[in-house]
Amino acid sequence: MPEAIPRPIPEAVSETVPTPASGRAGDDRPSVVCVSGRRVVQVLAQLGARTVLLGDPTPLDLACAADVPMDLDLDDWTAAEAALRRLHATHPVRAVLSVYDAHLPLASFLAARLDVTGLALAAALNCHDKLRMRLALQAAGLQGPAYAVVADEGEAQAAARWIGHPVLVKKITAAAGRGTLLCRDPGEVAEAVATLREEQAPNLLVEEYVDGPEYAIQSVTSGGVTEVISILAQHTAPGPRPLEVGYDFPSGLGERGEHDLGRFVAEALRALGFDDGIAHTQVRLGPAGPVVVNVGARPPGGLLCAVTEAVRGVDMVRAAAQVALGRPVTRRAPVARHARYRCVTFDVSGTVAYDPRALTGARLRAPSPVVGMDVDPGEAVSALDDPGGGTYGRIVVYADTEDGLDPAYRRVLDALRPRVERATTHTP
Amino acid sequence: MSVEGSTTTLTNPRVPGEPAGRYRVELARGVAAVDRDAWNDVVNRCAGAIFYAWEWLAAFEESPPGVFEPAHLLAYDGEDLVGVCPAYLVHHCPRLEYALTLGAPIDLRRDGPVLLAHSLAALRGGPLALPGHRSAAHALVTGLERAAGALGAWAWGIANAPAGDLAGRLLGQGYAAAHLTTAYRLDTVATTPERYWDGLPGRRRRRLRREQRQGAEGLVIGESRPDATTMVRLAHAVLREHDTPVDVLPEPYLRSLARHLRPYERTITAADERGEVVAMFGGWQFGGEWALWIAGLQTGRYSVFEPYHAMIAHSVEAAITTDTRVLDLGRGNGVVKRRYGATGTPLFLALKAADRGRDALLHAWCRQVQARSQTSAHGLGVASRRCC
Repeated sequence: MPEAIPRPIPEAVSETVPTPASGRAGDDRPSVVCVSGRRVVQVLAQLGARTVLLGDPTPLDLACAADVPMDLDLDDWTAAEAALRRLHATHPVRAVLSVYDAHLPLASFLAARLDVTGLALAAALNCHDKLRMRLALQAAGLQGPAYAVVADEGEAQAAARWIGHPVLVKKITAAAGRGTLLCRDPGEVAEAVATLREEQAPNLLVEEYVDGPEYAIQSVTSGGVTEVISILAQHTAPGPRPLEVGYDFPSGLGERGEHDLGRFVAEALRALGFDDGIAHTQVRLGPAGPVVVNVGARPPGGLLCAVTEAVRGVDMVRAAAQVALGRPVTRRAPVARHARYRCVTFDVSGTVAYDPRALTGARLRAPSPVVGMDVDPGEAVSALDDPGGGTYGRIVVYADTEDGLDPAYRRVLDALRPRVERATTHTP
Repeated sequence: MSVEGSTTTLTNPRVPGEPAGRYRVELARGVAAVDRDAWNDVVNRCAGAIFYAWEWLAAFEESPPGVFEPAHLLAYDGEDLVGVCPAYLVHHCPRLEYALTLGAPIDLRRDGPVLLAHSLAALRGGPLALPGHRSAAHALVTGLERAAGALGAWAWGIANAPAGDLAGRLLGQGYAAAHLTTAYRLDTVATTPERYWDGLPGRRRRRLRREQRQGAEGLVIGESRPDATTMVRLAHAVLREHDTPVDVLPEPYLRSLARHLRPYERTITAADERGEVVAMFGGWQFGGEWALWIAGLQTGRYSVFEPYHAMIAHSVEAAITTDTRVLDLGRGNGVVKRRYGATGTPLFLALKAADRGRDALLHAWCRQVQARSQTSAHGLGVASRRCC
């Protein structure tokens, strides 16, 4: 879910351009095609762009927010191109962008076919397909885990024996976490293959599990030059699904460590063919050095966009739109020096309870704490290590000093008191 | 440049990390312009397979399965040949044209010839460079692009690039790529057949042995050299059985291969009590790699490939007991080949066009054709109508 939390549209900033009504004569706003949600449409409008929103279908309220909503079969690239060409003939398109993993290749295809700004199609596809990603990174001399492409359980077991347990079994085309299972023995490999293998996409990757601290790196690439915006230490669930369950800023790597990691990420993005776009890259520092876990050519999910904006002053969604428009990325002054972001998870399954008065409004801005839950009190939740388990809420606190984080976080927990009835609560 | 048998210097492509012009890349418009021994020596030292051998290219040139103009690339360090990249300007190729009809938003077949290194019929393709001359492979890929421009090809690329360094570099350079098929290879690490069989899980070994016995009843399995007529008849019977037009492997082409590659032939046959060959795995060994390239069967006599297991078992044992380093069992039937310990290597078709819009079409096509091939049990490598 790449969208940041909903929040009020900021007051006019210097780069905002008056927006004439759609279709009005003399409308010289640059047209930007997006396959996205409300936030991107809003940001593009703030930047003075004429928004062409592709949806399948587009919800009515969202359609009203865009200048030109277009309902298309997003799997039919030919039809999408034909529809856009008609539009392009009357209102030339400046750029095409998406912030959704699934539609990044389509956006890049349309950009290439119209010969307008957009992430290179090869880069979009190299991020979309984990085998391609591994091949491109390793060919560029960036080390990665040992891996094998497998088509069935027998092959997966053979690969796991060759690599050595534990291994990760991954879908080749899926976002990290959702399509990945950690397997410590042959039984878990068998279960993982049964869970992940699909008739329409039977091939899976079996990868060496690289142990070590993990980091989330947000970056902007323009004209092939990558600038790292933020690096956060990332916490990953210890269970079979390596879900992200928390982040810390600063990363704890220090200036030198962040410099080296940033350079590694820039090299990785170059190896994947990145030219113009933003990225959320996850890297694990293994015993033999950094290893790319995943690259998403989009803003980070959850509240990471908001955290990045709070600590670095860069709104990643806005940055994506600015790169698409060929404009410099703007920044505000950071409002916090330290951030702690934790997902609410449970170590047992049951019925959730918490005090809803502790929830903050979605419009609350950093450095105020942000507390959100995805489930209402009384709803069922599953343990993190349960196949149906996951994260059920988010807590973000900010402070000027590291020492200030603990009390702030404790205050939120004391107020929220998340728990599963007759069980213990676990917030990592 | 178009004179058969001539070579043309493509200039010295700049390779990252190398002094400009270290490698001179030449374009040869036919095998007649290439020193056979020098070419084969490079292929051999690069652990290349039979599909790179001068004789394989000669057979292809003599009776091509379509309309192909040779456009082989050679990389020199000074006067020394250090890298080779067989390639053809493809005007008409049943395999490629069939593949291009799958999922392409616009009929890409109309756009003219494609420069391909080198053939979808081969189990491997792309540049080979001697150890210590890795950059020569880069120079050859750059040379391929230049040759495409010089020869009027709208796109260029590599057929059956194995997953690895080459495929990764092409992906990083923006090539459209599709994992179309998988080749199954077996390293002959076991020192004796007994050790090989002992290395398989007991239950699997017993089951395979049973299948071998049952399928080979009344047949003699061994290495022999069936005549070209038998080879064509059995191979075409399998193609027809799969509803695949035989134009992907026309008779003159198979006969030419049989003749040119005779010195390298290692074919496994199954013969009945009268000595008649009823099934075969046609193959050749070059250097340490033995490639079983084409299967043939008397389909009127067998509804399924009954001697298949016995022939694979014989191949493996023969590979272990001779100088074979790698046994390439070819594409398709991965489920069976994996049970014998073979591992799959994804093979990519990688293509690029100079024009951004056409390049995007290639990417879109690769995406679709890959999805289509991976939902087939055998990929596009075997089961589809025209890509046997």
